[in-house]
Amino acid sequence: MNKSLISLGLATVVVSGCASTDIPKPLAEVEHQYQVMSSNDMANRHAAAPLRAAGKSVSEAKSAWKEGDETSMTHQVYLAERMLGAVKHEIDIANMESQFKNADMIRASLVLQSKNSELAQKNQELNELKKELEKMGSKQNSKDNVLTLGDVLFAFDDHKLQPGAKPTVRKVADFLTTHDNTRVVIEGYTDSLGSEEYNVGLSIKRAQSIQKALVNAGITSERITVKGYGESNPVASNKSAAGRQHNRRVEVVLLSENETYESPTVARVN
Amino acid sequence: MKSPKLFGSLILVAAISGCATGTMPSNEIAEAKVYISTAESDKSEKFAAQHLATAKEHLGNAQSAADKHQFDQARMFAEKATADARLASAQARSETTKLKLRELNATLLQLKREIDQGS
Repeated sequence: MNKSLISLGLATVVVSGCASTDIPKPLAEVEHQYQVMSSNDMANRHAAAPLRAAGKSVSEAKSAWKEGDETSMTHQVYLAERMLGAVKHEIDIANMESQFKNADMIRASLVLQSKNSELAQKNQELNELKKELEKMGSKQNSKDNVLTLGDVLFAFDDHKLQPGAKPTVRKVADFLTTHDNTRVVIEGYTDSLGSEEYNVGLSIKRAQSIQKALVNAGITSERITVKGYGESNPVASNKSAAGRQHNRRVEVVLLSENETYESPTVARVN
Repeated sequence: MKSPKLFGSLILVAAISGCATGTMPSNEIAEAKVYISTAESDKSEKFAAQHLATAKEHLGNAQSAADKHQFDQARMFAEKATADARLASAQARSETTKLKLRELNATLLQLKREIDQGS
């Protein structure tokens, strides 16, 4: 009788103890937040250390509460709250970093887009220039990056520019002024009359004449290289006067920023 | 003669350790200092000033509690200082990243605009 009364009393104390002291709100909140975060993939990947610290504080707060140590519980809740705050910041940082990577890709594609549109613009201008040169009497060849200045520019056995050459040179200079990262190699050619050695010298002089004219038009000489190929690589037959006139020409090879110059394979004159 | 002396010194030791409540939290205080200096190098002075100030306040309290040999108090203050310093660090890094991202987005927008104008 007595014994059972005591145990009943004890049971009452235990039960009422549990019932009356619900888990304190701050502890319940921080525990809930911790549970949410510990199942968050980002938190586990990018904030493992503060997440672990938060978990440790939450469990210490719970055992402090069970032991009735309110000071320690409040203290651990404080720590857990800060660590969970840190976890949230780490997640934000990780999210932003992925945006950085994304932005890098956007930037790369924008740069590419801009290069493409620049290139398209340049090609269009180049085609227009070729058409104009053609109209002015310089027959163009099919190579994309080569301008032919010919025919009317030089008289037979002469390297001085004819007066009529001025507008042609100005067109080329204008193009080079617009596209200031383009370098040029000026290749001089002659017809087949005269010795080969003489013709090479003449072709260099012709190329130099164009170089001088371009420099006078404001193109810096560092952008210009001069080559002489004499009577090689004819574009027309040297048997007729008309053909020879076609062969007395200068070709301007346009090189963009990273492009290197390849000299033409020298074909012999028949 | 010998015995009471020993007994007395035992009492003295007990009294001191009782007053001192545990051991000096040197590690905790050192740790707090490290985290505070990390927070400072993460620019939390600028981007998480409040948390940094709280951390420093806790550290000050930890040190004065330690001076008074209130070691339990000191340990808790030191732990709080560490927690606030870590939070300050994270917040400051987050804010710095946010600013960088904003800058980057502005640059991209500018780049886009230039391309649109150019073409």
